[in-house]
Amino acid sequence: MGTSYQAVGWNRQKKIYDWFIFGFCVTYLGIFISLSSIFNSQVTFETLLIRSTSTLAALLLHVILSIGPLTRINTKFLPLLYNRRHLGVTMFMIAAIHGSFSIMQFHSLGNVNPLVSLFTSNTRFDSLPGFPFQALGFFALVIFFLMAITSHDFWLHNLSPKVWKALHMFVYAAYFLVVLHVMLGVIQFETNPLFVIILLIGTTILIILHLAAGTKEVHIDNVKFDMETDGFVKVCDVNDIEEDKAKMFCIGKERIAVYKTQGKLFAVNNVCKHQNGPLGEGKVLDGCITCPWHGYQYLPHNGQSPPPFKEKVSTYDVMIGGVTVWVNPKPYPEGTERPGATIAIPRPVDEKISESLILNN
Amino acid sequence: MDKRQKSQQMIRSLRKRHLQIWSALAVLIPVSIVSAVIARPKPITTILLQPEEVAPLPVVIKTVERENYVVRLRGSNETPTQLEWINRNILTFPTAVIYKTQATFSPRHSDLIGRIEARGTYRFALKPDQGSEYHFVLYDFIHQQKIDSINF
Repeated sequence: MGTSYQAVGWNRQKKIYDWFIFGFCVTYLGIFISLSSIFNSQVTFETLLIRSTSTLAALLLHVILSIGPLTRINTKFLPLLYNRRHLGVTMFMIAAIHGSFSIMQFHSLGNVNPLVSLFTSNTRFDSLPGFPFQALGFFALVIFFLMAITSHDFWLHNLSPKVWKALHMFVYAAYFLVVLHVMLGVIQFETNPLFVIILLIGTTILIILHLAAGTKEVHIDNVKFDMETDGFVKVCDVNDIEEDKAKMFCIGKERIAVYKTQGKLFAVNNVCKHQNGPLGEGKVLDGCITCPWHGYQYLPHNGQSPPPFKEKVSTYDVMIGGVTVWVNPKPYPEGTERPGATIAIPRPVDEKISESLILNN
Repeated sequence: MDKRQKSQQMIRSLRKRHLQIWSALAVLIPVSIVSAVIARPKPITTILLQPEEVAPLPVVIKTVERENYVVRLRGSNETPTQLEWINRNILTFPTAVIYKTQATFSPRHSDLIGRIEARGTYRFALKPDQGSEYHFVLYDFIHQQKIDSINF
């Protein structure tokens, strides 16, 4: 959340996150190269670098792609999401080292431009074991590059979240290309089944996570709300919502987050203006609804970010009948102040008895 | 439909699209992996120029040992009628020929016995010879150079 752009808005968490990533990568590469040197001393350093960076990039890609569904399944994984872009850029840089050294090693010694050689040295498109797998890796790298250079909020705002999200969904195409790159590349020459098993484990985990999270999300979206009075839809009981937290209801087009805070219920659009994060999965911090993804904040009663920030989300009318919560799914213009619904505090039983005795006397 | 409503719709459709993409990948990825594994080229089996099945003759008459190969003259009696060549290690040249020669070697004036490859065991028939000395040369016919001389 910021009023102006800077390369990276460093804070303590980001520094810890990035140092951890850096440390992990260096340790991985160090161990891989050392062990390979010991057990296979004939391999050149360039080959070791190509192999170590390829496996590291593939590992990081699997981690990156599992963060999203994990957070949908369990909010405890949300801290991983906060700086996922840093992990993505790191993965791209490592994949770029792999790609650069591969092109240098396999395509730079002839009299043809290495990039031309990449696409012309092997044209066996009709053969599965002989398929030009390096080109698949190259196209995946191009997608990672586009994602890395547009990962900054500057591009998010200028491209619009819709275009930005659509662009970044190409990561799935890139992942498929990487799987093909590995299967039609190293797996065709490597007889050790361990490589296939590791890749199978990775792909299986990702597929299960994404299908589980996707099914859960679509199920939430498809819940029917039948009871309707004067435009208000019955959604839940007051006690179903925890203090300073929300429940989300998909009524009509998009989800609405109903927050309970300071004795009132407020309804705002569930979609954060930053990266379309789910506001209803956040909580109220310092009196503001805080997006769980990157901490963007909105005031519950008007959906506006506290000054000097300018983000706004739509608000909705909420009503409480007894203990039942009703929401009107017709949105007010973004930033419109709404009074919310006051929660009647149930009086203690002793107090009711005393009052009854007084009345009877 | 205003811009805001379009934007809101987009999020829900994106969620749906995520599920659709991964449903497709759940089929495509396993199919690709299985296809690629099936398509893997079979390991190349060594087909020797001279099958090892040619039985060794019972009597070993003379033997010459080198670091990478052993060469024997064999026969049914004391007359050598078979040359046995056993590669101990994989040779550094892919293929070579063996000539039976005189004391001085010239490919033109030597008898070609057979061809060997970098690995394997070979047994070649020899014409019975009255002489007591046998000279063989291992010759790299690609580079046209003598690799080794084996004298019995």
